[in-house]
Amino acid sequence: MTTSTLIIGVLVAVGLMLASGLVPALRAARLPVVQALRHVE
Amino acid sequence: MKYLRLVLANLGRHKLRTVLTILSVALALFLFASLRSVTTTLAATAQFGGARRLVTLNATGLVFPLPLAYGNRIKAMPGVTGLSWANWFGGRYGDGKNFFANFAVDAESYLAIYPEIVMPADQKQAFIRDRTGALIGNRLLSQFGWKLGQNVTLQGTIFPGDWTFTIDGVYTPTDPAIGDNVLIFHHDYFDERIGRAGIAGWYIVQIDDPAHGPAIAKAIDDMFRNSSSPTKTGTEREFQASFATMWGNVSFLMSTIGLAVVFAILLVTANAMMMSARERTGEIAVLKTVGFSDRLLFALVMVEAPRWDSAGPGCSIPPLTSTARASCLDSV
Repeated sequence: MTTSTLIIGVLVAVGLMLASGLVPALRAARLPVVQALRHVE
Repeated sequence: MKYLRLVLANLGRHKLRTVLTILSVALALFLFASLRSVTTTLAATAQFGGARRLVTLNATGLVFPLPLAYGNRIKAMPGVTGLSWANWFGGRYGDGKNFFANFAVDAESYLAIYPEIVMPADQKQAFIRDRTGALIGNRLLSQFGWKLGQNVTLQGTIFPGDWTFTIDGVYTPTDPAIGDNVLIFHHDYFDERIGRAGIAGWYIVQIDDPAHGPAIAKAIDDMFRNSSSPTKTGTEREFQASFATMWGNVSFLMSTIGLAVVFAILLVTANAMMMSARERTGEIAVLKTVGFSDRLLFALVMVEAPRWDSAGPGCSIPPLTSTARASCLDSV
């Protein structure tokens, strides 16, 4: 495996991290507390 | 760092999902790296080629030979300092699982044109003198356990029959771009066995100055344009690259499959993230109630993503365990 393959692999992983984590993170940040507390058992 | 305990405490949630997602992500990344390695290997092969060498082959394709009579006419051209010719043999050894390149060459001129092929002088002379001799790369010696002086038999695929050669020399390439797993043998012996003398698979043309390459290549092709076998001349690098393109647009194919694999990883990871995010709506509310800011929660969820991608899933902020809860409360 070449260095470029390794670097691209890392970049792909980082890109995936950002792409897959962004939406849930935004949802978590914007979640209204009162509405969310209804889910607490 | 003070949230590390929280993050670690969350690692244990849904162990099966964690393991399965780690495996799917790992497998997909492995496939991506493997496919990319195929492309880079092919590209590296195309890097082989001396700047002072051109290759002339039949314009119709590599499998169509050229008359040997072309050789003298090419050699007489201005700017041409050396000439040799070769023919692809395509023989296989044993069960054929360990493929290596093998072709017939005009020994003396070939070794003169390729100074990168280095071997002891006595072995070189022995090879040149022995009509049924063969010269092999040093890797073949260790790969098959062959010895100098041993007879090896190849099964011809394009030219059927058993072809036995004596290993007269073992070369070590000084340029790693030249393969050390190649077997070459005499073109004379090849002609004699197939009963069709006077043909060459391709010509290797040594020129005086790399800058004259395009002009000489054009002159060669122009000379034979209206002959029975028109030629196509290019740099040695183009010649090597043409082997890869014989399979079609491999790079495009590999890139497309690689992108599909990456997209599959994205779906797997996003699905795992969304599932875990939905499961912890209540916990996020608790964290907010105890003082976690929106920005901090955003960061915590984003930090989990690398764990899904590098270590796998099951790492989203899960229902708070007692350790995690303590950790949270400590940090507020």
